[in-house]
Amino acid sequence: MIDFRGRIILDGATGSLLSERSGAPAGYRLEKLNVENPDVVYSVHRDYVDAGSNVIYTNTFGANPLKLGAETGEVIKAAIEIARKAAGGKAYVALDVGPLGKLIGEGGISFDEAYENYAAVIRAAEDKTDVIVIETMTDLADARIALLAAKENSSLPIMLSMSFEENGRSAFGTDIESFARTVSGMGVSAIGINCSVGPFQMLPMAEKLLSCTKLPVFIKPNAGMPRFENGRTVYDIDKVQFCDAMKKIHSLGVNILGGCCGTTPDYIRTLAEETAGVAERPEYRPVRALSSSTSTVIVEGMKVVGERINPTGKKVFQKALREGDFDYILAQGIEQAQSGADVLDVNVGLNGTDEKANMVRVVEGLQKVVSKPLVIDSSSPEVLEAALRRYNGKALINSVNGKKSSIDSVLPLAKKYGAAVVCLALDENGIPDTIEGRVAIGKMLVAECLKRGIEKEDIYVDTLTMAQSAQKGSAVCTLGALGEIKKTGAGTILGVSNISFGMPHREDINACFLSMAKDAGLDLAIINPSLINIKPSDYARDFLLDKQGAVEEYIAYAAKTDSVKTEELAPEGAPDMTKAIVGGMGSLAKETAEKLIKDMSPLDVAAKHIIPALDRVGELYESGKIFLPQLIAAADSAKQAFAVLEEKMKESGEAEGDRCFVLATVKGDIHDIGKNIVKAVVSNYGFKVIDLGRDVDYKTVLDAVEKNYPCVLGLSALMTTTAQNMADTIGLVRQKYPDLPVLVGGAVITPEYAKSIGGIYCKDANATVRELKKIFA
Amino acid sequence: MITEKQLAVYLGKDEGALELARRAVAEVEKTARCRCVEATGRLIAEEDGLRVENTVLKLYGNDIARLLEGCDAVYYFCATIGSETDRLIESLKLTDLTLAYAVDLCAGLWVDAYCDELEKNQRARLEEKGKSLTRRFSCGYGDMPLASQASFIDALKADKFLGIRMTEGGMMIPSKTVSAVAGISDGPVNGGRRCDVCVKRGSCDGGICSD
Repeated sequence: MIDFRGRIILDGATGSLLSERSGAPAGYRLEKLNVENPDVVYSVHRDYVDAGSNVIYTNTFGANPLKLGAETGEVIKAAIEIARKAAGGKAYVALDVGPLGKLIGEGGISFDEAYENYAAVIRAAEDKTDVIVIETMTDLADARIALLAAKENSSLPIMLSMSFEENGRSAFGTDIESFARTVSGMGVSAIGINCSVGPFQMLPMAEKLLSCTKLPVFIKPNAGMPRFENGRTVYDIDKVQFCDAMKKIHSLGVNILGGCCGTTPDYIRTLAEETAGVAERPEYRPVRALSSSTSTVIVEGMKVVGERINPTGKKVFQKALREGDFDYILAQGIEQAQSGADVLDVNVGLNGTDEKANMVRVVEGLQKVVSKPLVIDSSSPEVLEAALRRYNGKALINSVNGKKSSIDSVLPLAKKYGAAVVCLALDENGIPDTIEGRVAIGKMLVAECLKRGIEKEDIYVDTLTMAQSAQKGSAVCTLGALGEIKKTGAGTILGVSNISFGMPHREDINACFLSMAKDAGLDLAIINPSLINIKPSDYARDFLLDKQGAVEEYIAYAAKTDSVKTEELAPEGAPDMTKAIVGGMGSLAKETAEKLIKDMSPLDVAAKHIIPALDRVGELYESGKIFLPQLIAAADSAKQAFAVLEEKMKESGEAEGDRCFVLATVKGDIHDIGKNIVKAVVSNYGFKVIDLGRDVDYKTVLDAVEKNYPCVLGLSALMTTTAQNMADTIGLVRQKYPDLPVLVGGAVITPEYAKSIGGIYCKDANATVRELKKIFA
Repeated sequence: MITEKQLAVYLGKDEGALELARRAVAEVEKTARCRCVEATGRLIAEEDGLRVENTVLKLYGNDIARLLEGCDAVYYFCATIGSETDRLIESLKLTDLTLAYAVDLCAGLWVDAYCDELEKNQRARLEEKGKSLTRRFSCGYGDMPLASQASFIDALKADKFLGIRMTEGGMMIPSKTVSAVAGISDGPVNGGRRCDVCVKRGSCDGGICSD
């Protein structure tokens, strides 16, 4: 076993020496010499072993099927045999893997083709070397594919080096830090820099590399800068100059040293003599980092994750996805990058579309036009993996949650692809209402990550933002949990915009919540980047802190800004019940019902007073004049009025309405706020609502329908993945009740999708009421 | 390397076009990084064409043979402005197509101007020694096959030193990359115009090319 923490002398140039000793012309495939002239290859290896190399690279730099075709296997086997013989047990043998030399992606060969070519090389070597060294990579995509092929087709340790020019970037634009951050987590034993420049130019590069990885580092420079003279490449520094510079590199803490183009056994002998012992390197300072192939974002202070590459609730985006208009999607990425996003979230989950294919396409496309690191956002491990394979950087996975199945399927991906991961504070029991509950799940997930070898600085806990309008105390719970998680040293991330769902002037609330989250220690804010400069309002802050009367004050503030007059909602002459319900005054609604019921039947009170009031609420909500909290307050007030009527009906023995509505959030989905609003509104219209809850099994739905038939079924789903479960639920129920009307809704459901699964689309609670009225008419 | 006035020849000369040209030049200036690998080598006549000694570089075709008449050696190189400008153009295509067009045009001129400079410097070096250099010739000119580009890359190790890659269609990436060869002679060389082998020679009004 090679001790990568020890001092290792690698070999020097093989190609330059082979050209010289064999007389092969420049551009000749020197790997063919393994078969045509094994003695000359042996002599080069042997000279390096004698000069003190502990590891020699096989003569297989360009030995791949794209360059050598059917000869590849034979050439590789011969190369290993020669190297083994020359090493004579005194040196380790490394299988040398160079770039394929083809463009990968559009216009060139496909990812899969590239992978297969590298895999063919690795398989041909049959693990008969001691280590695999992937070297002289200039394209990080190439390097990663070679690495994946090596990991998946061999059990040998892997060394990986890229080639950087004097400006510290590879020819494809990769910088040293992005290379190091990307590759360090992918299971390599040592990472390095070779070729392109001489040791003087490589000195600052080595220093940079050491600061960006805790892995052992290896450096293999050229003998200076190359010059071509009559078919020969000539280099400009001698072994003394070479070793002087290499001594400096060694003293930085680089203990694996060798030479590349232009160096000879003489250079290596001097190098071995003059760089004895293991030099200590400066202590590695771990940081939170995310990388693309050309830039790295160090997550210090709050960084912005652009949220707009996501079809949820965006009609134009959905249309673009359905129609394959990827330019539109990529332009979203560019715009966000220009308006200040540090990182871009990529979510293309939309029912009725091929998420995996779309994700791959968008990830590949974005990498060409923006240099910001990407967050791969999907609930499907398969989609995540497809994207991670092709993403040339250190990605952030969004997300894993506390469910065992999620932990078991997502965390191995983070480990394998060296990605950071978002941990959602929810589990089989849903999203805890308390700070303690969310912190407990967050901590459990951090422990699971650490157990699997994921570094602490690659973990971001999401304490989940829920709509403040639908759930009081939401902001305080989210931020409280965030603060607690922050104390443990894990990173934090939040989707910001959800906090303002259902409210007017959402940007005010978002800006305020963002500022509060930042104070609580938020590392990554998922938000529309154009919002980052909005000054938070005090009204929004009070609303989020649940201060007394703050909802009303905030809405009044927003209404003033909108110049909507509150009296417009329930004008002076309006019936008392309308004023009570529209104003969300439960006790007034109850009192009014009690007065009315003295002179008319309960059904008349409902039909002539409560229902018209609710209709008015519906109109106001739809026209954007009132918002979700008022809608809910109105529903609650109406409920109090109905309670009076029910009491009276029970007394007089009047039957409860037989218009039954069975309601459920489908299996696998725990987002049920929408369903709950539907329930509140619908029940006020005199329908009997059977609420089955959330994450409801298909069979439970069928049983409830059986029990309550004739009825109407209502299903909600918020995630693309669970939209399929909606289809399956309908499928099962329809086997027995082919004519059962099914109303469907939820953020990801579209009219087209609803139709395709045999459902009637309802965009919100009011639409549900309209459909129910039609069905029961 | 290119001024907005040079670019305006293609874009138009009104104030709007000049402004576009200015922006394009500024963008290319920011992203272009000119680099090359260059070499000289003796020419050997082989049965099916000329070859550069000690290399795999073969120069096929009658047009290149005509240019190199009387030459016993060649100067050959591969030059690029790098991948950053390609990335910029890709991005602009999605956000500002007009600017993308202007930047693409400017980047093409940029790499050509860089090649002019390489050629000029080499000519000056040779003239000091009493030799002369023909104008440069690239794969795809006249009847020299585009496929020969691969052997320029191999012979110059341009994949290793410049990160040049070939597309399946034989195009070099970064897209603003040029490989070229010019003849070296002890005596005077053919001064033929580039137009002589240009595929557009029938339709060109002569107003674009510097020839």
